Amino acid sequence: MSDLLVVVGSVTSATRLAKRLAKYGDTKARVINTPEKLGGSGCSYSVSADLSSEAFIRNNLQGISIKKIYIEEIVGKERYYHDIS
Amino acid sequence: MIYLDNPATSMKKPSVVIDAMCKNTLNCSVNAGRGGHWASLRGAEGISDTQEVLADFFNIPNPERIAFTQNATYALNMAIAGILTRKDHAVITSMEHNSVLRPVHRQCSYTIVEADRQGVITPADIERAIRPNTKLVITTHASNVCGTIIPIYEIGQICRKYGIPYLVDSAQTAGIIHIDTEKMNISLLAFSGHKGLMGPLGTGGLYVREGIRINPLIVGGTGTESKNKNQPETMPDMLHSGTLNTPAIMALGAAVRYIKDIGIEKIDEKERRLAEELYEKLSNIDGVTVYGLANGSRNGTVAFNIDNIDSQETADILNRDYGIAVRGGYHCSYIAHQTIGSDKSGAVRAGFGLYSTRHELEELVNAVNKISKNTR
Repeated sequence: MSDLLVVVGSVTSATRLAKRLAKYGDTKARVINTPEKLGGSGCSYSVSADLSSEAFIRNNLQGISIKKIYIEEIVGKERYYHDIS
Repeated sequence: MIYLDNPATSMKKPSVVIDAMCKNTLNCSVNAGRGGHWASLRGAEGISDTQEVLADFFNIPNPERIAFTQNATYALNMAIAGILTRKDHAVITSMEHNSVLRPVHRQCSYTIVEADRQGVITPADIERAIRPNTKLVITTHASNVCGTIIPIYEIGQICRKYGIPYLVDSAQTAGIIHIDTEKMNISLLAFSGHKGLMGPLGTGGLYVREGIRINPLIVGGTGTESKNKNQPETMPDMLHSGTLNTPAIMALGAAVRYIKDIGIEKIDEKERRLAEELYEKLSNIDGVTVYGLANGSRNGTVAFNIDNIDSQETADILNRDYGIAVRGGYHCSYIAHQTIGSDKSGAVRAGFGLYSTRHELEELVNAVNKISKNTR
């Protein structure tokens, strides 16, 4: 199973992006705390969304600043993150 | 009781705002953006909703550039202390509130552009006051003393010409007079949420245009970049240290939606017409002096004095004997009183709000008439 993980700068950005995806992107998105291994300087927020929403995300930012985009790959109990920014 | 102290705050709140405040206090008293659990995220969503409705209301391109504060004074301090340093120069007007004058006076050198006796500012005078080291132009949108409107569109164009950021204090106009930050070239907009916007007390905010960096007045926990000893540079986190008043901010969103539904032009016209009528009726009473513009470029605030009575005493008589709440004295804006010629004892200020009526206006006029007759 794979999902997109979009790391943003603030919870406000995350909330806006999730709302935009739900409203216009026809896909469910969830705001989560960024996994520690991707967090960099500490706590941050990300949006977890379906893989198919990548194009929508890249084309409909409307001022939302994105730090990184990963594909999250879950193999057994392990989670791997592939940077596609 | 008749409440005419709307320039201080709008005491009567719409029921949708009271409902939102109660509901969100009950269901959403959460620390927004601290943690990834549903409660925290629900709060964050509520705050983001209010940013979006405000951005649409003021034509702000990016809602995330709006930071919430407890009032306009805090927002103005945040902008002034966050941009100006000792070596800088600022331009302000003689109609400013102390929430502009005092932080500027503490921070840097400045020029006060004089308004005329009616509180009218000539934009060309602002241009003449600009120096090579002018880093910020700051004006109120309307005088909190006599209601005269400052030509912020014209001043915004001057600031554009010189590439100087323009900070507007909209405490007396947000929710009453249309503000378009893009057309008016407003770089920073300080607003109170609890006055014309009809939100709860303890709400306000600051819009900071993209590309302008503010050195934060307060630093601390933002819920992000916890390992970093420096404050995050991301807006609004950079200006959002500490727990936000989530239920009140969400109720402010309900208030702005309410104002939008009514239509700001209708509110503007209603309050201005009441003020024009009050101005005219008070001017016809012997022994009463009225300040500011009689009509036109003004909001719903009227300043006056009854000859030979101290303004505070007049306000006290109106309160005690007639149940009318107005404010005497200097309204935290002595320079504005000096400008309009009421600096000896201040003035009585009556300010109409969304729920004010003609009946209240007539009650005030009758009361002033009686008090004036008793002094002669």
